[in-house]
Amino acid sequence: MRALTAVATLGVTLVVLGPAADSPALADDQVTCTKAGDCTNIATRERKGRQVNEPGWSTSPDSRQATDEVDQTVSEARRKFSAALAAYDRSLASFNRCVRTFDPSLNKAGCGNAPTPPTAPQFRSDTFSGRGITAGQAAAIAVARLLLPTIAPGIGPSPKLNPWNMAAVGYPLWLWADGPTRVGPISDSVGGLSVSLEAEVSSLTFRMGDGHMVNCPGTGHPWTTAVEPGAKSPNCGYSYAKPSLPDDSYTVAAITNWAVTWTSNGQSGVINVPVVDTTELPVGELQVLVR
Amino acid sequence: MALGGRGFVSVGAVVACCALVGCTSEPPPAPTPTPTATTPAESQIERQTRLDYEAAEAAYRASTAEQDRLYRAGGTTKASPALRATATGSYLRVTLKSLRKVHRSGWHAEGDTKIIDVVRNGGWRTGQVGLTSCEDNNAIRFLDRKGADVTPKVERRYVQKMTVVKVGDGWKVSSANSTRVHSFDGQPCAL
Repeated sequence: MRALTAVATLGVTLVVLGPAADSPALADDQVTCTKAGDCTNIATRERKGRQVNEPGWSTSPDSRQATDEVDQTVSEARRKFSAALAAYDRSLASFNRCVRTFDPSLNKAGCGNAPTPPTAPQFRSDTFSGRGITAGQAAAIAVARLLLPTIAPGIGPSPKLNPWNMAAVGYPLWLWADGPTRVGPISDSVGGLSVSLEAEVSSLTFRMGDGHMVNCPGTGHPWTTAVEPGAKSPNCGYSYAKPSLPDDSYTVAAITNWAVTWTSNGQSGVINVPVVDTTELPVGELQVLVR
Repeated sequence: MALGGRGFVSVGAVVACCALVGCTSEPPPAPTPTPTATTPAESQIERQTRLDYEAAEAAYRASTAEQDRLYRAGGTTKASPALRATATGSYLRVTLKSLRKVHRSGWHAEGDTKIIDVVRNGGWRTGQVGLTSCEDNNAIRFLDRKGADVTPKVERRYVQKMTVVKVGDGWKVSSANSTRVHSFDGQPCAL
């Protein structure tokens, strides 16, 4: 006679937190108010940086020369534009450091629970009308304004599919990008220059919340009910060695690396944009009583 | 957590495979038309733009209705499937924070949000639109466990400038910039 006993902490909630997918058109001090009358300043609490691996953020020699050829208004606008780009560049560097060190289990570098991209620098595009902005700068702004979809960490089988609402120690979990993995083509206009963008997820990194990291090529394979129980993911999976329960859940972070290909004014390039999203995963132990 | 006693064998999760892989699933978000991958003709763009704005507005209205329902039910600690299907990002986070506060406080709401109108703002691009809504929440009252009126004494008429994004097959409000107003006179969403 055998009896099966599950030892688990019940009632653990699964909360999925998405990155702020904020509009670039919004001001820095964005405030969101609720029906209960309380308001939250999104800018100071939630906005972080975005990495853009793009040279030419500062005013280039060519554009400095061009500055002399335009009127004072444009020159002043460009000065502010360059300052905004430089400030944005500092945010990107900060975000880059943040993403490199971000581990939800440690919460290093003051990154919060999910570093999210910042707002694109604001400027009046009609002031420039194509005078003095390089294609690379225009592309960088267009990419910064690009709203990439939220991609939550896909983890299967979902803890919600079993009676204990948890993942189990030792069980092979499948990991994937749970969301659209292609965006575009999209056209944008920056300073009079037309920019065409197309984005694709190039790689995926999971920080599992227990100090371990999983690098996945591509977007991983989604788990489905057709998967044989206990089967491992072909290219992106993980098994926990220790439970998070009964005290807590693991915070799993998915760092999605988007490769954004831009084309503008006969030039083209690729800008890499990492986006971070997290989810809570309760992990417990299952034990069997054998007589 | 290991249990003592003769006959206990820790075998991890593999033994419980069948229990771990049930067959329930999340309700899918409402499907919306999918833009074509290639650059469509002008009329197709116009049509797609219109459909996207309609789907985005429907998502906002559905999200508002779901929030009203959850407030009336006494708040919540986690997002309902209907809320997750219509809200994301900072908008979802701020909404959930408020719903949790109401839940913790033992409050519940009476009344509904009045949406005066919703208009387009900003540009359109694939998977992202901007909307501006005149949203009047002043008719919503909050009551504590004893039935006492604890409605915050603040103006709750907002002009909401929102970003709505397409996630998968559905649209979700992802962010909102709220401006308190005492009157909607002259606002683009009240003309």
